[in-house]
Amino acid sequence: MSTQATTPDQIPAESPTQSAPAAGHGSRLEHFPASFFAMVMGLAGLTIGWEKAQAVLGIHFFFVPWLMGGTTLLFSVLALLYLAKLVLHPAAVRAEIGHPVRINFMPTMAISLLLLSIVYLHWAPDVSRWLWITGATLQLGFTLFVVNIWMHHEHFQVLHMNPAWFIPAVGNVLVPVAGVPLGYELVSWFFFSIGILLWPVLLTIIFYRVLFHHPLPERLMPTLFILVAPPAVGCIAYVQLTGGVDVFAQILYFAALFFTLLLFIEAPRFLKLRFYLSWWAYSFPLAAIAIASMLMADRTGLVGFLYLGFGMITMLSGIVLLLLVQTARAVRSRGICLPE
Amino acid sequence: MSQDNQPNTPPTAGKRAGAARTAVVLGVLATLFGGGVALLYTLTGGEIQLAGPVPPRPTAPAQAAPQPETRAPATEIASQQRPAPTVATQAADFASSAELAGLAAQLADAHARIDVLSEQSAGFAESIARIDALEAKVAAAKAAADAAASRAADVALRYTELTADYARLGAHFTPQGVLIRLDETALRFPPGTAELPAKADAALAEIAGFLARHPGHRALLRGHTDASGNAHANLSLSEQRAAAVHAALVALGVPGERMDIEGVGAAEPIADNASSTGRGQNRRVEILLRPADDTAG
Repeated sequence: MSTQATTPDQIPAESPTQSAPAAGHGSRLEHFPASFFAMVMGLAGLTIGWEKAQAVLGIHFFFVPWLMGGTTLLFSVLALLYLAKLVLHPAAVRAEIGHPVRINFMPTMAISLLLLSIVYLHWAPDVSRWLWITGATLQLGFTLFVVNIWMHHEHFQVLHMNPAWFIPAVGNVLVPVAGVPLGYELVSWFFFSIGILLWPVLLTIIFYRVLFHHPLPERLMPTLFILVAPPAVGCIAYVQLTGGVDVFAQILYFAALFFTLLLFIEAPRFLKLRFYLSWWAYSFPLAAIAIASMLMADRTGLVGFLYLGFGMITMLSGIVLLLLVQTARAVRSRGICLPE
Repeated sequence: MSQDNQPNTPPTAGKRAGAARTAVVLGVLATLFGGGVALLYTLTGGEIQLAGPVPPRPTAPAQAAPQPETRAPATEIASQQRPAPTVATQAADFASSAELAGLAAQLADAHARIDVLSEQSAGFAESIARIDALEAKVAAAKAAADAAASRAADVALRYTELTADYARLGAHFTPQGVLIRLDETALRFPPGTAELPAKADAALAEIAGFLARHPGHRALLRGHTDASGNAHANLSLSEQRAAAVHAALVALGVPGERMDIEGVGAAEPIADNASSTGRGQNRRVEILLRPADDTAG
């Protein structure tokens, strides 16, 4: 894939630049990217965050079923679209799988399934179980495939590394959150171990790239928020697996909090960016740290965590609303689903 | 693709606009966050009940945690490898308040049932107390019946002994009492005298023994004569004869006050006075034995 060498970090089909040509105008489906599922991740994260607030406070929020329905609807629509793409343009799907960078976004489908299984965990446990099984199996498949590519692909350079690479590796950390309540404790430990093993490895490479090589291009800067997700989700999963907050859970939580703080200090830099689909990378990690905060409040009894988590989930609600509006505008102005 | 990586090139107006936009967005975000905090404060009234520190449970494969049965959706989560975590972790994570309301209703039900059961058990305690009282009464009645039965047995025994003694003495039952007739063959009074011969002691000893065995009995000694001689002399003679028997019995150990003496003279013959044998039969002392109370004899 030597044609990629000059624009190494290109995540195609995500930049709704107004000046892009109308090539492939009639087959937008062909260029429907798997990264759209990041929307489902964000919405599902928001839903789970409000469910968690409900549980911890014992207060019923009327809009939670609406959030659940909306997330499910969005997922169904996107899944149908991608299925249609698979049926009508199998070559495009194969190309996406074979693309060393775009493949990193495909596990968002598996992660969406896992997040939906968490959403429905206490409302429809049977549905949740099947979502979880499918999601976990897909996630494992993607992880094995992607790590295999990393080990044997010839043309990777450090410049190719970006936080989206976390998605296939550390998405595994999400599995225990629904896996343990459903009864699959040992399997959950397996997935958790994969994620916790790969997290420091990838984090090191990211830091190395950012320190010693070119900074991330604009298009990908929002993906820095993905750095918050592995420790935050890891904390939630670890507490599920061990049943309480111990030393490692606290380390994970405060590492996630540190990244959040770091990124918020950088907020002006992020706000200068124009809208990209990668902006959805803001949503799920914030949801993860908000849920982890509420979990910490619940387990340690310290109310400060609850205020922090609740404030973040409220803020995230506003952010998600903005993202939905911006995405709708971009879809309408045909700025998305463009070929490279 | 436009590249905005050089911050120097945009004009200052655009820079100010950009900074203003940034400030606005940051302000909105800060407002949302603060709004969330304020919302939480008002929703909970400043007081939040949290589960508190929960220590981690051991993660060894042998660990088994109970699955709560009161949460209806959770009962469908059948563990395939290992049971799910404890009630505390389940309730703390992702539980919907609808389920909590259901649990609260079930708790209220359980309390109501507890109240009913404690009323019933109070009633049972009463019943048990009454049963105990009744059992005590039954035991007392049984004891009384046993005592009565043994008293009756005692009485029956005494009666048997008494009738055996009567038979031994050769007694007759009469309306006045048990009659023992000591006639001339047993008490040979020479005619016209009131002196007991020594061999009368054998018969009298029997009588003394009887009176000793039945301390409730009194004896009436009635002396009789035959028809020969004048009535006045016979009367005093019969009395003397009764007194002689009385003295003999006292000498045998019978308390004097238990015996009464009566002289009847020739008024109650039992045989024909014309013959010598008949006269001998009429010359007698009769002993009437009567119990002090009226039950036996």
